[in-house]
Amino acid sequence: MRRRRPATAIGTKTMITVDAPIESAVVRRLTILPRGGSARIALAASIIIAGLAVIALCAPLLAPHDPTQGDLSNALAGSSAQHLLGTDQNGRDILSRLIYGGRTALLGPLGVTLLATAIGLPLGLLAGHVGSVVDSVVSRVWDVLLAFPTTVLGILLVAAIGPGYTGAIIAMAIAYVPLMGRMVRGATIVERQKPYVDACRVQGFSTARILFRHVLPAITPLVVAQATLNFGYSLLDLAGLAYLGLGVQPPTADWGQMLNTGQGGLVLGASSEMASAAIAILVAVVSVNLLGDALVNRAEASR
Amino acid sequence: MFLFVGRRLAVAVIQLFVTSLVIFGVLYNAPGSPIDLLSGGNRLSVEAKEALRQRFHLDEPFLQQYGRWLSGTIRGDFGQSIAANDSVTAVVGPRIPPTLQLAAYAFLLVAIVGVTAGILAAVHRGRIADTMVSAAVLVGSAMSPYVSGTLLLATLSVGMGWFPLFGSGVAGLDRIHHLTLPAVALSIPLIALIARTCRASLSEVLNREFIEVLRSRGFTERRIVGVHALKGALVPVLTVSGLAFGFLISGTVFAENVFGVGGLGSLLIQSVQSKDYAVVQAIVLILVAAFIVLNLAVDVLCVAVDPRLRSAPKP
Amino acid sequence: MSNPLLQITDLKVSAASAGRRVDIVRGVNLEVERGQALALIGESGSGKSMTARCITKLLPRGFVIDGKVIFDGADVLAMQAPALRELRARRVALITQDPRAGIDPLQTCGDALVEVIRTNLGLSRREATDKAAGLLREVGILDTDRVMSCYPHQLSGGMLQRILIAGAIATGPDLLIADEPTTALDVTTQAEIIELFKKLMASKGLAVIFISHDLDLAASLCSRVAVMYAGRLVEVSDTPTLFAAPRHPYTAGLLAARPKLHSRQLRLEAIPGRPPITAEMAPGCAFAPRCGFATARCHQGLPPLTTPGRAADITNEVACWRCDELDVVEGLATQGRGRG
Repeated sequence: MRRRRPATAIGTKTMITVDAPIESAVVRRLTILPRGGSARIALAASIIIAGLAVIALCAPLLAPHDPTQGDLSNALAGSSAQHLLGTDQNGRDILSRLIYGGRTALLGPLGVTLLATAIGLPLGLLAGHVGSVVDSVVSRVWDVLLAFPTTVLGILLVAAIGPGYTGAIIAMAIAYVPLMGRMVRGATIVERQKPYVDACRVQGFSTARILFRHVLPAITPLVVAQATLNFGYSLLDLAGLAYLGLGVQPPTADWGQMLNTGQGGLVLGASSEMASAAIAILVAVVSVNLLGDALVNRAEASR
Repeated sequence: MFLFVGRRLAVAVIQLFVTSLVIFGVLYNAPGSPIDLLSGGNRLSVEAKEALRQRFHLDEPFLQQYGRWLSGTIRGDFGQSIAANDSVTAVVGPRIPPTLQLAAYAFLLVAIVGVTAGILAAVHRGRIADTMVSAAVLVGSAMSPYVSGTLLLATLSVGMGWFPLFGSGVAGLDRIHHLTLPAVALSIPLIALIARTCRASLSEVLNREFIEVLRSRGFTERRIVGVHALKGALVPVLTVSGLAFGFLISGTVFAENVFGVGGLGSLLIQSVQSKDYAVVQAIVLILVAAFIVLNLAVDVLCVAVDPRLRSAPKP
Repeated sequence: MSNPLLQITDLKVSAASAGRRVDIVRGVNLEVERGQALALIGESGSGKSMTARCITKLLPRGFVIDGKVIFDGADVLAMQAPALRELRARRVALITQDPRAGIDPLQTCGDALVEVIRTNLGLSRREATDKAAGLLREVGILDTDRVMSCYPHQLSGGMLQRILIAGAIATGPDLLIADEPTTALDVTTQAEIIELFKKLMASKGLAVIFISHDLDLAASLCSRVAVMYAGRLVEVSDTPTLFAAPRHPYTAGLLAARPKLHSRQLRLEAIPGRPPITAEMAPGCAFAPRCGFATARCHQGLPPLTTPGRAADITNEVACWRCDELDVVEGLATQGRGRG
């Protein structure tokens, strides 16, 4: 999608520029996968994500130990039959914490993405389609939010709400609303200029009907693609907040948190906690990014 | 052109004001009343509490408090740090140089490595260099600085002992030595971003018809790619730089915490945890102001490079 | 008529696409004399642009060229990069279809011209600027100061095409390849550009290869016409003969398909069918499936490009098995009457 729009829009996260087809309307896409033939990679990525989700869901069945109970006398033990990945500083089984950690690591981004989409999508539709005052107000608010670096905004909001899992989710959701909203607004504006919207108007369809029965299905592939990418980015952000101690609080198991505690164990020679958490995060994010990139390809191809 | 810069400058100033209002307002009613913190949990008489409230102007209406704070910041007075029992300026001030140095170091790495990788991948599209860059970009994009930082720490610092574990070191070479790992950790996801944008953008330009026409005029590949193609590829890369600066700023917060660098980022997290809101507000304001200024510079550069952007209508 | 400026012998171009080989140019023989204008006519996909690009070996990666291209005695296909650059800079110039796409949008037109002049002719900045202004006047642009300070997006398509032509003739080439130079322009501007070509040919002895799908336009400029179909030449002839007495059914079909200005017409005489995709080409003449005169022999063997029997056509060539026995113009008219 090429736009004849300058990078002069108020606000700093301008994704719509003159002849910048690579950025299109979707924010921060990977542009790694070739235009075609990415279906197999997308499938592999989906399988990995689904696998991680299943493991997290079946945590009680799969984890050999209680992730929050530890035997201090056995702290920082190496790999053994009892503890495949060893134990952490509190004697808790790392493998179990890793498995349970998937729950917070995956649920959090899901919450952020769903919330951000739930707020950003309708607002974006309205702002893009109706324009005028609604657009001005909404866009100005988003511009303000986008004037902050995303994670810094998250940290600020967490400071206001108070550190904690739900607090972090709400904070990041607020920070992500403009990302989704801006994209939806842009896509809606493009759709609004297409003849079928005029045709609907002429037939006397209500705005709600046009938006939900016609425009929304047209932009859904883009929305899904962007949501997938947002899932990946918020996964990193939330784990980062947990690492900083502002997100998930101990003793709940979480990958970001395990990175933090695992780092402490490094000097003492125990690296499995940190390494496993890092690998888990990387695998999850890379898979989500690949899937998101493939979805973006497909969404753009269908336009 | 000047009209554009003027307008953009005005926008930036407005942004600064509005964000400062948000920063002040968000923490206005934050949990952990300053009074409780100041009193250290001791029971105070009503008069003592009232005296404290008056001393810290906590009894004034919101906008007045905001105005007081704002005028203070313009004069360089950000209030009092409750945790350090010192002025915020004294606490925050010394933290700025390490953060600046870290950011500058990382920026240099990103500019050199990222752009080079992107150019290589675009010029050798479809061959080994391109595949390698793409794979690196894929993994690098997932490496938020706390992930890359801890991994680097584990391998190069604890493992190999090549780099110090934490701290920002004393000035000069020692500082560079200390800041290298954090800067590398910080730059990895940014290099991925710049490289992939540069590659995509340059590839797209190289496919354009005017490149073929330039070849037909007998120009060398070096001139075509170096002068014409790169300039054409610049605008999307510049646009993405705006985004990248955001990641750079957020990233320094992570990198500083991983490596214990005594900069703004580590102080920020400390202050959030100790509910020292005056410091939080000051640091966030500084970071956001830097972001706004950097984006202003990027937008102006964009318009300077591409003349078509100067006369285009507003969206 | 020996020592032509350009001699293309048995040119073949193929590409590997999705594992299969795709033949784009399937054996083309062409000659261009100094100062001569040759029209290269064909539909999209006929291989005409590819053929022209081969003259300076300007093909993208992944294309395989076979055959011989001799320019003023030099073997182009055997040339290495420095010699090729010299060829492109001084001897052969290219103009493409869309002037807006063919110019660097981030440079002023003046800077673009000066760059070409300085890089290829080594003049100083002031000399180059003067020469650029002179070139612009030659191509019919009078307000040189303003135009040179403008960016491409501020100028019209016709103006841009003139500027591109100015850049192309800056180094005084012997051959100008114009690949559909007027397709993106309106009709009035088209005529102006053709006039410009005529003037340049007269004043500089420029040879031109004019690629187009528009027969009439090409005829107004060129003395010889070569018609391409599906990667091969089907007819090469001097312009008057081609229009008066075409020998190949495809050529006749193209001529008949033009809307007539002077008589009533109930429907356009389109050639039935569509050009073949390389993958689905059967043995034999590529035009046979669409040809109203095709016989069994036409479907079996590829007709060579040869001089037909009649004495008047010594320098003309046709690739048709039945060229000596057919009167295609009459035959098409009969078929048309039968259909209409």
